[in-house]
Amino acid sequence: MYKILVVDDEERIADITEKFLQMNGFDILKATGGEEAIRLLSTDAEFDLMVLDMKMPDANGLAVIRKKTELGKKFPLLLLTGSIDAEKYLKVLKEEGVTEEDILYKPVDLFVLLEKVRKKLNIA
Amino acid sequence: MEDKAKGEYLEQIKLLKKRIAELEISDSERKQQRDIRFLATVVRDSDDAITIQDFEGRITAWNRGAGQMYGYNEKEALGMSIEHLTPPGNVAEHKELTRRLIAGEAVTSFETRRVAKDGRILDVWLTVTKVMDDTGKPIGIASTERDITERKKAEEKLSQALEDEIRSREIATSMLEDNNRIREELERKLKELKQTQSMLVQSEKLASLGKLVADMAHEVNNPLMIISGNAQLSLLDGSLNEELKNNLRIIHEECNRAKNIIQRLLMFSRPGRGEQKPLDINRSIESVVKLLEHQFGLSNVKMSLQFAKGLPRVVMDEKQFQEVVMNLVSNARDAMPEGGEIAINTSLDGAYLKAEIKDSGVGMDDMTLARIFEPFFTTKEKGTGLGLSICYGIIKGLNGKIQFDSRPQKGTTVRIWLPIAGEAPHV
Repeated sequence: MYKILVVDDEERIADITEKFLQMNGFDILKATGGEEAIRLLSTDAEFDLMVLDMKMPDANGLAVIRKKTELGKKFPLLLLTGSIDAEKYLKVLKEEGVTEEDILYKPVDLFVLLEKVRKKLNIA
Repeated sequence: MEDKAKGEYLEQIKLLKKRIAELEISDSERKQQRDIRFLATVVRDSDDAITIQDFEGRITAWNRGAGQMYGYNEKEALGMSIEHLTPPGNVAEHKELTRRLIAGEAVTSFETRRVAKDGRILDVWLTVTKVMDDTGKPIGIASTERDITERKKAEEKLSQALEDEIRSREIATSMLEDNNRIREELERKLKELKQTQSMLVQSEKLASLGKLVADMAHEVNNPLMIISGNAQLSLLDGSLNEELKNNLRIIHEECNRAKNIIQRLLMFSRPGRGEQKPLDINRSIESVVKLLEHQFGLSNVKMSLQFAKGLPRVVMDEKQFQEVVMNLVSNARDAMPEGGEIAINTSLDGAYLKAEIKDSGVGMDDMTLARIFEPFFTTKEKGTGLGLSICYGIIKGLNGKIQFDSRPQKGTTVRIWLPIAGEAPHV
């Protein structure tokens, strides 16, 4: 079973994402903020994918991505964002291996999210 | 005796007749002499200078007026050469006059100059005539000379005054023209400044609106995701009845509608870069026109294109450019409910490509013009008020410029400048 880290400071969004992906057979670990995500990344926990919110009050998506790179964690990620700030960071994100294809703008249709997740994990 | 008496009588009658004749002649001569005396008095006492000179130029007669005019008394003047009265510049003229009179040519009156004893130069009006002896032979020139120096001075003064007046009027006219030109220039500058100021105000207002829109989008997108996500999750519950499912579908669809509105709003505040590639704007405009041509034709609106050839490419997202063109030509059509023509032209303007879209529609007043880029501002019954906001966002995002010229009932011209090298145009 693929293990996905879902990070969003909006708890209800994190819940929806968690529930929907669980219903579709994924193992979900949920973090409701950037700091919590960094803490989880710093553990021995292994993830196959991270669905990450960009704009968060404590540590934003970029900080989480940088920590992931710093920790040498190679698994892919999808950015889920409510603003278009992600475009502002596109150059930096690219350096971290994130492409435009990896960015999803809220509100995201859950089935679109599912398709992206599967594609990212190379699930047919 | 009778014969002798008759003869004496006749002789006496003869003598009487002769005497009478003699008396008659004497009377005529007297009359003539009296006339001559009168004339001589007139000549002598005239204020005009009356002189006679022989053909060698020696003065042979000199009246009182000549003495007053030239300052020589009769004694000094008689025998004096006329050249004493002739300024150096007029000597040749005097010689020519003498020659013409001797040759029998008619010379009457003319204006010339004389010099007085004290050196004053006088302007004189000269009337000349030949003088003949008893046998009719010309022996000299009689001339009447009137001093017109004062009159000439007055004339010159008047002429000068007239010239001064004309010059003053010319200067005044020129100053008036200058004033008008300066006023027009100032009015033009003032208009430009007002335009720039209003554009700055508009630009600042739109910038803060853009920020507001971006912040709002973020704040609204999260709850929208929660609503639509929960609706989608609920729809997966097989136990729900159809009516409830239908309601949830409506919630989900309306969330998508709201999402689209927000995405269009974000095009105003931060349009994004899209797919950047070199774009031939002529071709791109043409494809939009082809798409709309038929539909516009039904509304009796024609589109005419005038493209500059060989324009450089602009690096931008074609969809964004076409969205701008589509919005602008649609507005032009809506401004002409009775039909009309939309003229589209392109040109190179320094380091920018310029596209101009002109209609002959209802136009806009200043109040409307000041608000056209504001999101949700519309004058249309069914407009979203986002079209021009999006155009503004896209053009601004490219460091370009969009400008409207419009007056009520005078049509509208929209100009957009797209930087070839990425700088903002100075217009």
